[in-house]
Amino acid sequence: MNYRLSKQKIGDFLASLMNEYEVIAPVNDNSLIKFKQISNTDKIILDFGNSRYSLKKYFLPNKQVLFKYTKEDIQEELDNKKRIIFGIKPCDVHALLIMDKLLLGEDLEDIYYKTKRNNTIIFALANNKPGENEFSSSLGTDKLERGYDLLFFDKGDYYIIKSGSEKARGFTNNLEQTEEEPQAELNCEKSLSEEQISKLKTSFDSPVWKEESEKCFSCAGCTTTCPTCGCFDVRDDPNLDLESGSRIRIDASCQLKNYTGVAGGHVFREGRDSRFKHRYYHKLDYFKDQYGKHMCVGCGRCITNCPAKIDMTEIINKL
Amino acid sequence: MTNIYKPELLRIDKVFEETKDIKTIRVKDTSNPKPGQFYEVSVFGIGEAPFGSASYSPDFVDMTVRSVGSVSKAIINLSQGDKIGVRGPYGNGFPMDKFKGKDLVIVGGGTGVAPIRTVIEYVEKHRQDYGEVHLFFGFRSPEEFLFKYDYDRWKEKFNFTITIDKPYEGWSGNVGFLNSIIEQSGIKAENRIVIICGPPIMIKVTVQSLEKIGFTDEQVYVSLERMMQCGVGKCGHCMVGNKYVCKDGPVFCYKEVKGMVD
Repeated sequence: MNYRLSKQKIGDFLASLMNEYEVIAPVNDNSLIKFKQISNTDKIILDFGNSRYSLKKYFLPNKQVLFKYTKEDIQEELDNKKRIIFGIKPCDVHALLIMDKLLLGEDLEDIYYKTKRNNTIIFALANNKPGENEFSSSLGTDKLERGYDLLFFDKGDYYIIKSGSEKARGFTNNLEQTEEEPQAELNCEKSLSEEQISKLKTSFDSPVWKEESEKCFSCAGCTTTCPTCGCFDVRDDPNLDLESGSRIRIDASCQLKNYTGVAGGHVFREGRDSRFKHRYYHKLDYFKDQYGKHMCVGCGRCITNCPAKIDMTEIINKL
Repeated sequence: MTNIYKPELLRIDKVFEETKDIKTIRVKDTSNPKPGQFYEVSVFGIGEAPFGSASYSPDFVDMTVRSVGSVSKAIINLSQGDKIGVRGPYGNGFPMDKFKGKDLVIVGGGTGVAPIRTVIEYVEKHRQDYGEVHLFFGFRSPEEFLFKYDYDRWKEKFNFTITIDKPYEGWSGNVGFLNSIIEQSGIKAENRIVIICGPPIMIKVTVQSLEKIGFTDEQVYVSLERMMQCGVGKCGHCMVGNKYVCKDGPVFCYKEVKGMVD
């Protein structure tokens, strides 16, 4: 059983949830589509490829307090805010499922991520329009079988909504039921085949890495906007009394030189080519060895946000 | 829910002065790390960094700290009674069970001797499980010697060789790098396991010398150093190939290390 909601009513539907939830939705922000908290539904964009930046900050903020310390005590800080994210595209839901593998391992759970994950309701929007530079259709991350609470299919004047979780029941009570089974097709221009990706296994010494890395500025734009890049630094932010303060974590990037620097000054990936190559191998080879799936969902943001116009699909297809 | 990033506040129970810039701190802790495991130590306001355990005891943990990074400099300035944050132990540690019945060659260079001490103390407590034990320690000079207070005991129990890099006034013992001392020692490769901790270059030349003697890479175990922040395979910094040094290591068989690329 699916549900049906007229597109005109989507605003009222989301507005009715705002008392209980912080609602995040795609809006036009200075000509860029971004996910932001909304207080009214006037500015929501319903027809779009994808947002310029990923949604990871709602799960793994770029700066986050882990706990506050004093001389005698440590108090952890958990974000218990209840959120609904509306309009999240399938590739970005896949990105969350990938982050789950890394951060929700049985014995070593990241409770900050877990708390945010548990408190966030996912209203995904099925794909019918690729994001800029998106190549998710070739990776199979353009469709969703799980990972959503509600999945909206755009049918022109109305949405067909699939329910994907127990949690979703509370949201569908007042919706009209329908037998209609929706489908969404996405055709991305760019693509990356499994066969081509598997060439990484024998391409570690390929000249491609050195050549292509010479175009790279090591600006970390790719890792900053990648929905599955979650590397972080752990730092202390002391208060003025110097006895109390916060332990924080902030974004780190494998593209920056200090990422592998140890006390005493040695840097393990000193050359830009080795850092450049590490990202491709982590995304498309190492993570699969470790967790059984690729760490790339083909959202295309690393291409869109690269000032040197370096294209992941072009590079892998050169191997 | 347990919080993997939240340290426990522990008081420094004892401080041992080792050299002019190295101290060993002892905290009461019952986690009894395996030889080769490490802890994440916090000095609040400065930060957190990984330090290998230097002891094998059910009652306390020793950590030997050289004043080189910001956290280690802060630790060096602490005294008995001061509090630090401790998380751990982390990492795989040396597979001591796998080494049962073997003769051991234990090689430590500089501060690499600290994790080595956990292995030695483990062997002291499980002496019947292992055959002949050779210790080879290398330091820049006698001023850099660590754990001098243990040497008499170790000399009684094991074959103990110590060397310094360059001649030093008043020193009549071995002079020269560890690899050449090991080559000259006449040890044979048969039924032996080698454990090495030290700077990367020392590991490299020592393995070359071991190969000359007839050791294979499968017989050699090393502990790797990498930048680590979380210690539990989340933050990404210590990744080498598809391995996390913090979680899959820091101890690796040299056969595996040889194929690792940054």
